Amino acid sequence: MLKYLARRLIFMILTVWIITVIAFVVIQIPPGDYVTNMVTEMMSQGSDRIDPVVVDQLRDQYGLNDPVYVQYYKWMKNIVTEGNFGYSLTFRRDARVLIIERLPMTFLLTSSSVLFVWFVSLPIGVFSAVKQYSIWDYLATFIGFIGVATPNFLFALILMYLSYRYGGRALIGLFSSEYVNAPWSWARVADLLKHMIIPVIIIGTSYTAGLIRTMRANLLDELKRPYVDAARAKGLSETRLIWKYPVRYALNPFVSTIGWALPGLVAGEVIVSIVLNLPTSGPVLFEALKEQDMYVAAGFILVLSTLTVIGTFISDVLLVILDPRIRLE
Amino acid sequence: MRKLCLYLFAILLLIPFGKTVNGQETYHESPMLTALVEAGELPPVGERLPTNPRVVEPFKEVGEYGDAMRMGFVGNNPGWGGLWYVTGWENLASWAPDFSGAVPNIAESWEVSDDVREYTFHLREGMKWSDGAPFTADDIMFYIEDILFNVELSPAGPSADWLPREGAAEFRAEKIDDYTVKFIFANPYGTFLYTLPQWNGRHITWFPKHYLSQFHADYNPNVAELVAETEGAEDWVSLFNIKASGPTEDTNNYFNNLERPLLFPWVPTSVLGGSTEMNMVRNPYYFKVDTEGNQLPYIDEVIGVSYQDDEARNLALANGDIDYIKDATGREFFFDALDSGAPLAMSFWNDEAGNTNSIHFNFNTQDAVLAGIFQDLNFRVGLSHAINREEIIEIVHQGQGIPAQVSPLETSPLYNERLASQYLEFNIDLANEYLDKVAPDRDSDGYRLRSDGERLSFVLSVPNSEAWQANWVSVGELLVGYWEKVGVEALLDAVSADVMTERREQNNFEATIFTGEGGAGLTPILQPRYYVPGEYDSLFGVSWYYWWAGAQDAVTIEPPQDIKDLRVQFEQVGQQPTQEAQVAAMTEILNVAADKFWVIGISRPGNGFQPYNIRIGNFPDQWIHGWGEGVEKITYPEQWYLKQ
Amino acid sequence: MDTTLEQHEAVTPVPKNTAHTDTEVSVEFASQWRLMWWKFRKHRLAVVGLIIVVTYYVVALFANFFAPQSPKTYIAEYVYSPPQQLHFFRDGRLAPYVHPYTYERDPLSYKKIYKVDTETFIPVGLFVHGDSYEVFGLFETDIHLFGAKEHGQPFYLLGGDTIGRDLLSRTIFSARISLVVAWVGVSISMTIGIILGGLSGLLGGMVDNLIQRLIEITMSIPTLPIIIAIAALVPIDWSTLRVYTIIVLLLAITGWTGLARVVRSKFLVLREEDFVLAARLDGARSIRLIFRHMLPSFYSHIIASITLGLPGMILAETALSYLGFGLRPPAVSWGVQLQQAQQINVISNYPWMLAPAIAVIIIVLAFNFLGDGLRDAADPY
Repeated sequence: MLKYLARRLIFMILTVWIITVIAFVVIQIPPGDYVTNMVTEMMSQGSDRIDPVVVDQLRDQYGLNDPVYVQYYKWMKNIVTEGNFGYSLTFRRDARVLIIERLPMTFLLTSSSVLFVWFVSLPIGVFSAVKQYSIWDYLATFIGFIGVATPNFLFALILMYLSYRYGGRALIGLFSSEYVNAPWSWARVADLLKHMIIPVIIIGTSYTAGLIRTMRANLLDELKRPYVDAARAKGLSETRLIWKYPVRYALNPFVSTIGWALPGLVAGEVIVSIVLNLPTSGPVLFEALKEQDMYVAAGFILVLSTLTVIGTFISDVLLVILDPRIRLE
Repeated sequence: MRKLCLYLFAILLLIPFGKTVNGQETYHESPMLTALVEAGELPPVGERLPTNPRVVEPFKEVGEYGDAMRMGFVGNNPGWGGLWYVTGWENLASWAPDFSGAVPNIAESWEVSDDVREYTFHLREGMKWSDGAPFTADDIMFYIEDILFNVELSPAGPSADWLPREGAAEFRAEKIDDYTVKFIFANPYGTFLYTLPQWNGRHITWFPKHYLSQFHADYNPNVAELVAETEGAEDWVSLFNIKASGPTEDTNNYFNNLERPLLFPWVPTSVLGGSTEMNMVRNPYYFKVDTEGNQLPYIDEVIGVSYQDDEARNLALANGDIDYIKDATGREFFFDALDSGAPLAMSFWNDEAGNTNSIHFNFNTQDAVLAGIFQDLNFRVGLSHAINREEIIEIVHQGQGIPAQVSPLETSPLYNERLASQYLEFNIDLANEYLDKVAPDRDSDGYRLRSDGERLSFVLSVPNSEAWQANWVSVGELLVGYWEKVGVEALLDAVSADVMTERREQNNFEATIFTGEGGAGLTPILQPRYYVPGEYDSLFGVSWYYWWAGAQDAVTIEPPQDIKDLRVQFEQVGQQPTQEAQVAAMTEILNVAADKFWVIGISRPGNGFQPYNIRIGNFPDQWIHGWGEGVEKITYPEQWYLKQ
Repeated sequence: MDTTLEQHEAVTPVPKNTAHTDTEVSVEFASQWRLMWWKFRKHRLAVVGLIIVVTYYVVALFANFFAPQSPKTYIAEYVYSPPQQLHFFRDGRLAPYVHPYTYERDPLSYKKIYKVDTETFIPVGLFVHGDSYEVFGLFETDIHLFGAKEHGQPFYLLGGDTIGRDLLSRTIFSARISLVVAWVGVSISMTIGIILGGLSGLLGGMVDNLIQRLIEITMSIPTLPIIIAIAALVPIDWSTLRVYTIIVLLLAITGWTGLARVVRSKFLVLREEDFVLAARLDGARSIRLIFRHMLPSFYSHIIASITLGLPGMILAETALSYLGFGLRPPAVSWGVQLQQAQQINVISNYPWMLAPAIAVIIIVLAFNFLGDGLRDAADPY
């Protein structure tokens, strides 16, 4: 076990390193750079004289004329030696501060969505497996799938509009205006919870379908095993029979969600957060990528991929603990 | 305790003997500041204001003090998102609210020599930066001598967007006394005063010497220490640029530097980042008062709310979550919201622009045969006749506006009928007649052939990522259809604005659609981009521009002699001493523009709408909207107030 | 975006030993495919899904025939026009028709207020002559399944779009790009997934380890930066379709991991089976072994995976369009159409512009149900 853990750890570090290299290179691939972006912004507002000499000077100033590997080396060195993630050209701040500020809400939203996915798909999955091919199976499946079938941005936009039109107040952001910068209080928590309903539903429903399907398939599989028949023969009530072992074993995919949840939900979260204006990592990462604010973008990717790798690791270990039938290789 | 007593005594002394407006009234201030004055944290209002503050006449009524205005913007840059236009932008001069001319602002008054080479500005005595330090002629001289003429900060020589390229090195400024500065230009510069209220004039009063000299190598020999401790600074030049938000750095980065003194009505107190909001608070030293001696602004605080997407921002405004947004989209939605009782009021604006769109054919495009065709007047005239403008107006512009070429508006002294109305008729036969002169032969699909036997086909790049470019793709799709009918193949290429910037920097486009600035008043002189080549947005001659701008890149192309002469002729417009002479000289340029027919236009813009929260007072019902006019700044946001 | 693709196939053991019921007797004589069909038939939603999917593909293939108009045809007066109501009977006889619209503009909001012109009748029929088109480049015709009997008369069953084109026709044409491109993407990611997953499971050891790490890295890299990079890189004269195909390829390149893991776990079991061992001893090369001997033993799973991967691609197309990195006009796809609808203004005033979203929802549901049924049926014994 210990040897297994150690080996995994080494591979995890290696994986993260490769990801940062790829990410750093990819971010720089598009022609143009942060300065191009700045020029576009100024121009789009009508500023009509942008001297090419000035533009060149700006590139020098931001170190954008260095080759990629030099930029990467500097970046990595600063992270390793001083924990310094570099500097955001957009916000003129430490990239680390920016990343740290956005992470808590991202976590909150992601973990709430995972919980939501679990709570919805577990009962529906069990239900539609037990009542396979009944009208209830179809209905449950249909409800579970409708979320994945609707394009997220549209879903978000429509719910936002409906909350404005019929709820009297558009639920935008994660806080009402009076709570945005207020200190934590119960009222603020309540406000946050109210605002989280729509995003959690939208992000969650796009993943319930998959989990329902897996749950259903796994449970059907388990239900046909001899031990179930044996238990039934012993006179165990049908409910207990199902929940005692088959459901437990069929739960494995739920544990696996811990691993993929983060990258998956962050990807799904980008669009929802952009539409609903949520203060999470998604929009900042997206903007940073678009504006080629490379240290912020690379920093986010580094942090997110590290978390993903750790998540996968945890879920693998949990699987081993939960289901003794899985052995370590 | 003794100190407090002294303060109180001072306040008691000051109240009865406070400064007066017109020798009668006492100045008043926001209760928020009164509290600070009483606490001893701030000098009394009379000491904070200049001896002769600028008096602004409220647009509708004298306002009430207090409250916080919430303003929504899209993206990560509060300034460009709209806050620059509302909370910033104070120059030596400003526009009169009706755009009738430049009026004194930071400068109390000015004199111009007869040869329009020398400008003497009188500053306001006792005027202060937002940190309380005096604003004097030294600040302006610091800009001219230590920034503009500093070889490290301005390595390419003195260059500023208010300073004509010609004779820039011979420009100089003199400090007459603490409140008087004289600008002496190498050549006559008759349009200088129009430059002052605009974006171009911002740098002159932008640099607080007392704060910035610590980042300047000439003033602080130990500047290297500051460089070392500043994130993102490589040397003192970049340190200076970061701290000053200039000269080369984007001005709007001042929103990221909270300690920087400003002359604006509101100053930022928090930066954008983790939160979706940033805060601004009134500048206690702001130099304007209303007609009753109330120090402006009326509104105590401004909160900038960042949105990622236009739609959430629109909803938030209709909802009452925010009070104001720049560039609202979705006219029908806002009028519906107004009808159904949303807390909104509606204002209308007249667009400054001379046209809804300008269509550019890149004369410098890398395909020589194509460039030749583009430069052929018959080609452009033919394509212009092929456009069904009435239909575009009906489909894209909601039936508003009339067909027109890119030209000064009828209300402008520069209106040029030929330029406005030539080649407007929608007539396929006429179009074919002109195009037959360029490319008479056609292939089996009915498309015209170029002289080298290839199909006459070009890529029409349409930027479409910004809200104000939203309907450009529709225009592009219609154009492609019209031109197909006359045998010219245009391939629509919808791109993001960033990609388009990249392409123009590399001269890598064939034809494109852009805006139609240069319509109202004298803006054709100030925004001549579609009337004369050599401006950044003169996209029809993109490489010519780079040649004039002195770019080192391979993208530069030397313009032919007649184009160079035209540019020289245009430079002379700005040198004319009187408005009549300027109009006369510009009329010549516009006549040439009519001959050359640089760009194809579509239609005059219809009227614009501006929804705002009903609690904002003193917002004009009708105003003129344009970049050169200062967008919101011409509505004097410092005199907006929030009704209780 | 990419994750909708891989979802959770990775950890899905396939159901085995499904209960045998009335078909028990004939099972011994039925072929595997027949067994699957019997099993499949029982999943009603899956059958409905199959019918819908087939219908979509037929309509997409003959879009020119099924759509009443060409996707470019427009009438300026029908910008944002609401859907026309189809009437079947006139004067008690079957003579379908629609009424045209007249309109006024609101002087302030400029919104068009449409009025049905009940005086005028536009006869509608089957197999009418309309915009002409070529059939697979073979011959030209102008026959449309249905439409206004007189060519050029307004016929807008789902309303008009931003420049007055028929939404219904465009939604039909969109199916072409959206469905075909999705296929390309999924087939590529399946191929990669099968080969790498197969090699990993078959060879084990160092290769397995390497591929496992590759899967891990691919799963952890966000696709967004890659897509943005590619979108900015392409040359100006590339058609948007070509650009998009590249993006789909990228989605495919990052979307293969799920299947690879399934295939691997399958192969881990299979490689111990006698027939594989026999083939190996016979000297078959690895790739050949995968495709000739091992894959056929679980084709059904692959088909199910493809079916379940397609909706992810279709949704990704709309999502990319939203972010501004997908297809762009003049291409006609659901994403491009929805891009015009993603405004509060449109949702509140012209909700019929959301019609393409309904088309997307239906096909995605259909694919999901179909895939579900296929998976249930995959192992009929």
